[in-house]
Amino acid sequence: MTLQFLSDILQNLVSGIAVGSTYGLVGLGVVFLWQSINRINFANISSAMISVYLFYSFYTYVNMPVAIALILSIALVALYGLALRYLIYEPITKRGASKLEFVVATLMLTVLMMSVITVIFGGMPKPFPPIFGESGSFIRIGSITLSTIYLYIFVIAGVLIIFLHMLLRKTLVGKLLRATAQNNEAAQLMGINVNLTTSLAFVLATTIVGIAGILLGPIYFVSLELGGGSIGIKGFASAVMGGLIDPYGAILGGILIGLIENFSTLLISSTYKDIISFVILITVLMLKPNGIFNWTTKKGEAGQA
Amino acid sequence: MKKMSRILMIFVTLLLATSLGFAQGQVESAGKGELPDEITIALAAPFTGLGSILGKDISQGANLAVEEINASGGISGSKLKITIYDTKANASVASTVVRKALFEDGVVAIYGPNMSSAVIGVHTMAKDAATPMLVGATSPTFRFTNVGNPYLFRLRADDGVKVAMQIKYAVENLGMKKPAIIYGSTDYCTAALKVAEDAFASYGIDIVAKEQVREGDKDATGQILNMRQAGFDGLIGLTHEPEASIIVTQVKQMGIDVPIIGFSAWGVPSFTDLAGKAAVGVYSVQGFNSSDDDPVVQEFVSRYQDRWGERPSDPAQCYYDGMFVLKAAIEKAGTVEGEALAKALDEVEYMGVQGRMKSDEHHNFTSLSYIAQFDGSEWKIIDKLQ
Amino acid sequence: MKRKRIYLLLLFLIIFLYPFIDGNAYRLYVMNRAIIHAILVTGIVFLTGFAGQISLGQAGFYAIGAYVSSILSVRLGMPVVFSILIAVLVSLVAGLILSIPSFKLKAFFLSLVTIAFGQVVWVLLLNLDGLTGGANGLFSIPRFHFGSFMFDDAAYFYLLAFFLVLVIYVMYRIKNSYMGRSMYAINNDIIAAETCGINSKRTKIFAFGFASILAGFSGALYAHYEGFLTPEPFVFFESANFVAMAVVGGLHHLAGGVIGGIALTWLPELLRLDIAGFENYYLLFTSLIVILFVVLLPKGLGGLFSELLVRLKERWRGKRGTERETPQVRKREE
Repeated sequence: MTLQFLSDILQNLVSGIAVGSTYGLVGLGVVFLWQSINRINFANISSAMISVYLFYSFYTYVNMPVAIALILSIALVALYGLALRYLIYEPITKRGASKLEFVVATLMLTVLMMSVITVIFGGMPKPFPPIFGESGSFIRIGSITLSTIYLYIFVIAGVLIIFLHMLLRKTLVGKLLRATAQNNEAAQLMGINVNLTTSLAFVLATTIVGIAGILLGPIYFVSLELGGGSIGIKGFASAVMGGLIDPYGAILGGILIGLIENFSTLLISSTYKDIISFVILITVLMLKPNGIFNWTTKKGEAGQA
Repeated sequence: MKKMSRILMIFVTLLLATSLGFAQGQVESAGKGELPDEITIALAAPFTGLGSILGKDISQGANLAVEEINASGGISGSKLKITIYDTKANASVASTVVRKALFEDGVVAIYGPNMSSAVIGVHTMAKDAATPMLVGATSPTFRFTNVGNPYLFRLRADDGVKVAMQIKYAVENLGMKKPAIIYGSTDYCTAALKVAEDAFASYGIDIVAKEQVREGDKDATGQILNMRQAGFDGLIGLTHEPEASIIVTQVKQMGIDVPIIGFSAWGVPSFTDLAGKAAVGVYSVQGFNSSDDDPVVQEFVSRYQDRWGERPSDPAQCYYDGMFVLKAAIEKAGTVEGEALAKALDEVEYMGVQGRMKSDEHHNFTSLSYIAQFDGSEWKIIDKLQ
Repeated sequence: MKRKRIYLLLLFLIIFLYPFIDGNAYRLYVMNRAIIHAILVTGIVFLTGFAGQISLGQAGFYAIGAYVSSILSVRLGMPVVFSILIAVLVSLVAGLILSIPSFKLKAFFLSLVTIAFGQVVWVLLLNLDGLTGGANGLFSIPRFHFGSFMFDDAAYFYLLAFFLVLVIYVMYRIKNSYMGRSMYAINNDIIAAETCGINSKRTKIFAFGFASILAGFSGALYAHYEGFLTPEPFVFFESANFVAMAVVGGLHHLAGGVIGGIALTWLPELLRLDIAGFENYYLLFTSLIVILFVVLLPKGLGGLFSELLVRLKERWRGKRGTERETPQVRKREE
């Protein structure tokens, strides 16, 4: 094992963790909505795309100061969450449809958002405003390099996770949210304002992914890939690998996927890394339906039939 | 029992239909004889989908030409009417829209698809409908010398020319002896890969590493490390713009200092805007360069800029030229009838943005390509081949 | 009894006359694609609507059917009928394998596995380009032929319509059989069903198998109709599109696949309006209309249709009074 090879392994490790945490970040939105309303939102990733394009427009065309542009973009994405609830979720559940209709509607919603963006901005990617320092800036430790954006991602993602963890586990609001998810009717009987908690769940889920979108912007550019690319699926995969229980699981699941991808490229081939990731995902799901880390709540299951 | 007889009835009908030899739909071939008041043409381009979504550039180039032609009296008095279809960068969708244009709209000529695999799949329909098909797609596979379709023409240099030029420069000028190739997954990239492999083979040079990226991948670390391990001294880039940007950024980040030369997908603003500083010093072969001080090119650039508010990008210029080529051909043939028009297209000559446009033995109207290097604000032309 | 005969005859007449009414090459092509989709989506209605198993990877079977059949006929020169048969078999095997996760996993987790399956198939056909042609495509795929007579668009229409009718008939028989009722049972309440002695594993295997046969078959039909294959029609988005067709058509309806397949194949075509600049908008409107359908009509068009039928029947009976309500008459009308 030459020194160069060792350093390559280390570089792949670092890159894998970096890229994987982006997947996990998207997965946070998935975990959150699942924990709150027991639904999978296939338009999850569209929040990221929308927040990025909104921010780009405010910054470039309206010349807003960065802070205001950011806040406005995220606020609008939060409203998007509300719209999602009242325009998609409510009508479907009211008409007695099952989860499948929600899946199809949210899938089509992503396409709709992508079409709207294509009409307004065209299909080619645009550079993300250099608010996290210059694009391409990086740090170097020894022979290992890392784009600086990943440092921001680590920090902000870390803060987000801790915040969510506290919210879900330690606060009253979190308890209300989880109660509503586990048993909607019982929650209502207990006097919980289910209406409010549901709205809150939607808003929080889109906001989280909206923030994730801003962080991902420098990497994915201001592009449709955020909505239609593989990161959406990898977000789900991360959440599922992590067990769909805890935000930590999503991040760890994502990191795992990032590592698998990088090391597949290094050790096997760049062409088949996707297949390897998927095969591992399927195997994990089959052997450990509760996710790799096998965290379960006291009530148990996330995915068993 | 009742069901069986019903099924039998249907089967009998089927046999009847086949024996009747039902004719394949009404081929509403383009106008016959004299010029109609309105000359209808169609444009099929990708506005959504994976890969390089060039629909906006293509339609802007085409529309500008149509407007200019109509403003100056049309073609012998007849106005051009253009209908635009989205192929979604999907050959199956392209098949549908081309059929619509040829067999329902009955157009005089169809522009596009711009995707090589789609062209290979649908071009025989142009022959069936006796309608000229003029494309910007760049794979050498459907050259006239290979498929022999008298109705199929190409409006710019194909990758057999451009990629060969790219490799030539890499070997003879950049001195690459241990090249590595990084390529994307669309047909545009894989067709170019084949040309590059053949070109290097003709120089007797071995390619030390061939790595692939998928459209949408955001990390090329693994691929670059593999190339470094193979000891490469130069990089040939055959990917689309976003992946290209990530590659040059990460190569620079890892402190690897080798010459990099990309193919025509790299030589456009879409790439340099995304890559920023990392693109400085990168070479590329191009089909169009808006800094070319040829007055015809500059004239086009300024009119395009006035009309659309941005500078033109490859392949806007070839579809722009394509409209004028059609005009010249219709005027030469004196008719829009398909077979005569195809013959006229084969013979006509026109001076356009891409220089002298005349269909060669491959039915390519031009072999124009540039070699340029990005200096931070624009692509400086090093060489221009016509 | 007599009325049903008349309806069937009417349907048959419409099918027979269709190419004569609306015969240009483009429209026939779209209709043929629509029927191919209808066959595939019928499988989804079967799997998801009846048996309650979600699959977002049907494009994978579509791809297997298309590519296996094409490779066999193009590279090995096998006659079309045989290559299609083998392709369907391969698709079936894949479907049976995919049924295994369904034993343990539910809903979302199962859907992820199916998504992964679809992606694996897609990456494989991109990269095994010696066999599949990869992104460059696979060309010169032969059409059906009778001796030297090539099937043209109209002949394909009759052939495809024939297959579709056959598929619906088979589905009808299964629905009213033990297997069909088992599927409803496990869809409703799997524990209760097993208590009644229904082997849920076998039922799931059957459902997945049937759906994969239909998807593989339609894929092969597509390949030998289009004449060439490229990877784009087999991406995840298409799987999602197929499921959307099932939902719009009506998941619990026998004809749901037909309605949804035909409606959503024609929708983007009808939206190709001749308005300058509209090429940018038609995808927008397509997805918007589908969302509206799903949100406002979760039972799908099929559900709407059957509801209307029921109301019409009641009004008809109400007008005629109770004379027609003798049990015997009602039984035969079933």
